[in-house]
Amino acid sequence: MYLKLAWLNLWRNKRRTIIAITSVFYAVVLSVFMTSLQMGTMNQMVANVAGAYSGYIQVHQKGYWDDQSLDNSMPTNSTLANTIKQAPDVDESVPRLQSFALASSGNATKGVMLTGIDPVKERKLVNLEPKIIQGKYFGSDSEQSVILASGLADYLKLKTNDTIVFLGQGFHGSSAAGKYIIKGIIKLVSPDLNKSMVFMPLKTAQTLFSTPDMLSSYAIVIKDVDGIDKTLAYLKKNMDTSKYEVMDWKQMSPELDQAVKGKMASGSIIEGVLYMIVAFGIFGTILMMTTERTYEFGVLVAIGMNRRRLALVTALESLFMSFLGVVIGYVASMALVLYFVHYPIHMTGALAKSYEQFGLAPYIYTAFQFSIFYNQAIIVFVISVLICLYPLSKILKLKPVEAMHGE
Amino acid sequence: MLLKIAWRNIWRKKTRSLIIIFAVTMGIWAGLFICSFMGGFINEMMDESINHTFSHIQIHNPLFKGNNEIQYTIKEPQKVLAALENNPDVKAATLRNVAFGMTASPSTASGTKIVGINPEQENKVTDFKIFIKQGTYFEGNKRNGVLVGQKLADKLHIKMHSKIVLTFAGPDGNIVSGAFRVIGIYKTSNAQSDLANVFVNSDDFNAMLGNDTTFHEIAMVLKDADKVDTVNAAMKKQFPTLKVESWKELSPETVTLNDYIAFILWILMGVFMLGLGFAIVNTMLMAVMERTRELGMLMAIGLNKSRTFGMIMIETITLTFVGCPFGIGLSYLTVAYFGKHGISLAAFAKGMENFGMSSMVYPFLKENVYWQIAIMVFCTALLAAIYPSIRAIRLKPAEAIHKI
Amino acid sequence: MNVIDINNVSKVYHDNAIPVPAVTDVTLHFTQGEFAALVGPSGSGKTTLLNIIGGLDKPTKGDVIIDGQNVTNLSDSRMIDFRLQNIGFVFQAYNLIPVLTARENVEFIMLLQKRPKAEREKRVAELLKEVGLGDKMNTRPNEMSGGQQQRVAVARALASKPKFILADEPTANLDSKSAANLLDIMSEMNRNENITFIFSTHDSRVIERAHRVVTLTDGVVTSDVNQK
Repeated sequence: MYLKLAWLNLWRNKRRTIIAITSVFYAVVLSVFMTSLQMGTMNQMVANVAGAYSGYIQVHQKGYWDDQSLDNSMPTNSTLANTIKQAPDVDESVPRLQSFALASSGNATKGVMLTGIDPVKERKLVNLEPKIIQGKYFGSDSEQSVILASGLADYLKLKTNDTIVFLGQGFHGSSAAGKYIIKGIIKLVSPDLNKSMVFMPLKTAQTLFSTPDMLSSYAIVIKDVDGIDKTLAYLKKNMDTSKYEVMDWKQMSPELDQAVKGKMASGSIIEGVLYMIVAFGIFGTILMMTTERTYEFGVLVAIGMNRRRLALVTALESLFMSFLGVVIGYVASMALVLYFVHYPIHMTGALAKSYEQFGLAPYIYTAFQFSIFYNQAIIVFVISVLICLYPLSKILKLKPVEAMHGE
Repeated sequence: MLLKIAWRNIWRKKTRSLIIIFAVTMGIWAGLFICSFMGGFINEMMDESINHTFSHIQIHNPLFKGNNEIQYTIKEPQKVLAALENNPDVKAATLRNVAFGMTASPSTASGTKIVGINPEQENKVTDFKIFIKQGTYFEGNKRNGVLVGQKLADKLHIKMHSKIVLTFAGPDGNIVSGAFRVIGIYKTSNAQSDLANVFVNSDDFNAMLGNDTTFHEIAMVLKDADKVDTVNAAMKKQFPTLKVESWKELSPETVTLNDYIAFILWILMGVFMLGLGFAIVNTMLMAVMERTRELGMLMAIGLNKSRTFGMIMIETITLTFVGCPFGIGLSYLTVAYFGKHGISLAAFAKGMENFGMSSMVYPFLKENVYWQIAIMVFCTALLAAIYPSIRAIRLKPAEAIHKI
Repeated sequence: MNVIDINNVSKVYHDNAIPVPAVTDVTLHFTQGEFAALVGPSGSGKTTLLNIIGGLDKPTKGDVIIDGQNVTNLSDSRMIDFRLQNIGFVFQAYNLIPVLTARENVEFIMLLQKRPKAEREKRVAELLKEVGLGDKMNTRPNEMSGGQQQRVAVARALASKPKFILADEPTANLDSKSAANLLDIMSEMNRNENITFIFSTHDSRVIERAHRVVTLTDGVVTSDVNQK
């Protein structure tokens, strides 16, 4: 009975009710938008760093990460490869063989980082083909050619179809030497990487370093970034951890992890401020509503309505309004975030240009995650319910005659 | 008169007004604090960039791309140095050698940048000396001493007085190497640079190459940091055959990060202002509705639509603006206090070091930010006032007066 | 010339699509200096008629001519201005701006009319003295009794030098003494300044003192009597 009364009361004064609902609505939409932006920016940050080269998860021979020499590479193991493939959310596992070597051509020599890649699988991680500015991509995984970063090519004064020589240390101290044709030249974003990266087909690299069928790492491409923990757990459980180690980007780049944590902390503070501001908005509205209805409450109490019952009905009204505001806000904010997912905020002027120069997309992204909508809706609901305690306290202390005295 | 009415109307409902005033004050204060925090952050970053890495302006041979082109030295370096020392804007300048090669210990090797410096002169340009944790900054003329970073020392498993070999390619392509002894270990807040840079005395560097005294890089620090761009432009004209670059050109990432943070802050403040705006709209809307009878009466006796509109607008804007000075004043005090004493981010120290930052932040705000905020708040108030004002003028006097 | 000519005025409301005739085919003429009352029970249409006379409402049919000017089809904005310059109002309640003092309330309307400062100050003082509130110039409405508030309202209505004053149930909230007091003042104004007063009322105290009584029943004029 009270529910019905409360509900009908709401629509007695449409305008007032709508204003109250909208104040809750705004609160939800704004806080969702803000949180979504923060999440989006953080995801983008991690994607730019971890996703672009090292991958979100890597599997190596145990001990490789601390001592990244060829001696710590692992033999290709189909069981391991299968385990990785079967882990949840795995899009691809990208095999690599990496080592330091000296590159030389004519009179010039330079230390480089040589990475043996599977031309097909690597497309999912460091997608070289679109970055090619001269020449072509690898056709097979065993051709005797390399792809150089342009900074390196400039220094060594090389172009496509020239020959380049590599010297270095192979497996267990054997010497590594080889001559290769330059198949293509790419431009990498990071100036440092652009001056030192060389890519070679995997089998060719394995031959060069006398590490047949061996790998430095599997870099894993994940379908859904949010599911990374599941993938990690699965791998840890199903891998032989005495032989292999599995690491996520947080372990491989602890500084990035810290940066993300720092951002989250600052993000919480910012969210807190926003909650405060919108809470004021809601409170102001409720306050005015209570004042406006003082006369009405006075009449009701005077004619005999029990204060507690009145408080109950009013509480129900507040709950309805908060609930409606939250639900409508939930839906609307999903639409808003979705819109920005497809049309992200474009950076302006000089900033946009520099971003493009770094090879990064000049946009600010929003993250579409159900947890965001859910959490924010709950928080705002709680805030508005707490605020609605104010009119209740007023009712319980009401003196009818004063109340009806009016303005 | 409308102003008088607006002002008094604000105080008619003290609680309601205080809520909005408080919200505005807090919103401004929080917003400005966050901006100042970021501002301090950026300052720190630029400081790092300038003082420890790039200085204000650097000069190279135009063909030297930082890619190991050891043959591209600066022509007549001493002459250029002298000219710089005579330049009234320049505080100090120093000459350096640069090569990219390998640093090897008995156990491992690592690719590094090998920098030959003139310790005395260098000390006038950078404050590197403060980072020496063990050993000395080239004190006491020892030959072939080298300064390595803590992170590199760890990687190469070396310590003070360890022997290491520096190898790089000379100008004619021949590999040159020399044995050096670690005479000092340094640690900056940028772990990456600690890993990548070793320092030797220029004399020892040049000795490895033969007899010539050549230099690749001139770094200088100016007396007034704000004059970087003008001095940079002037020097480009002064030395047309050389490549003159300011730290902004050398480290565009820093500039970008700066711009990025500014962009984010704008969005942030925008969201805050939106929040405030909604709060104001709703409150004023209620206020208008509460005064329906009064507004009806006013329109009946002759307050025309534009004056009514104006009345509500003025009331909204005034209400919003009362909180403004408090918010700004509070921010000013906070920034002044913490700007002096700093805020400690010890919890995130490790991550920050890797990005090249110390873990103390000194909040900072440029003066024009206060004005910008005031304008933003004003615009928010203006926009927020529109809807309630429109509702007010849409009232029909006859209905309004007889409303219950 | 008549101050007010109401010619065949009808007003029909549409309450949820059901047409409700509030006033039907009313023709009335008022001359300068009249002290008239529109009477009738609730629902008789007297409030509607008063609203139409005051330009607060537009008739569905018919014309309203004030001082020779046809105001029936004036736009809302023009009507507000017209009211400002030509019509004074005294309502049953909520006449005054709560945040202004008595003096400021009376001055307000003259400010709207853009009258010069000297004139305003003089007239405010005069009027408030005439209504017997010379000593309450700086008090706010919430510090005054109902009767005093209504008197300030009259002073305000007069301040704009209107062609006529419309009073909608001005005595409804007042006790006998205050009501009598108020009527005295309005009566005096009517006599001395020859200002037309039209009341809408069902207060017998007012009806007694009116010179002309127009009775409305179900939206139609059923009697129009000059009793003085």
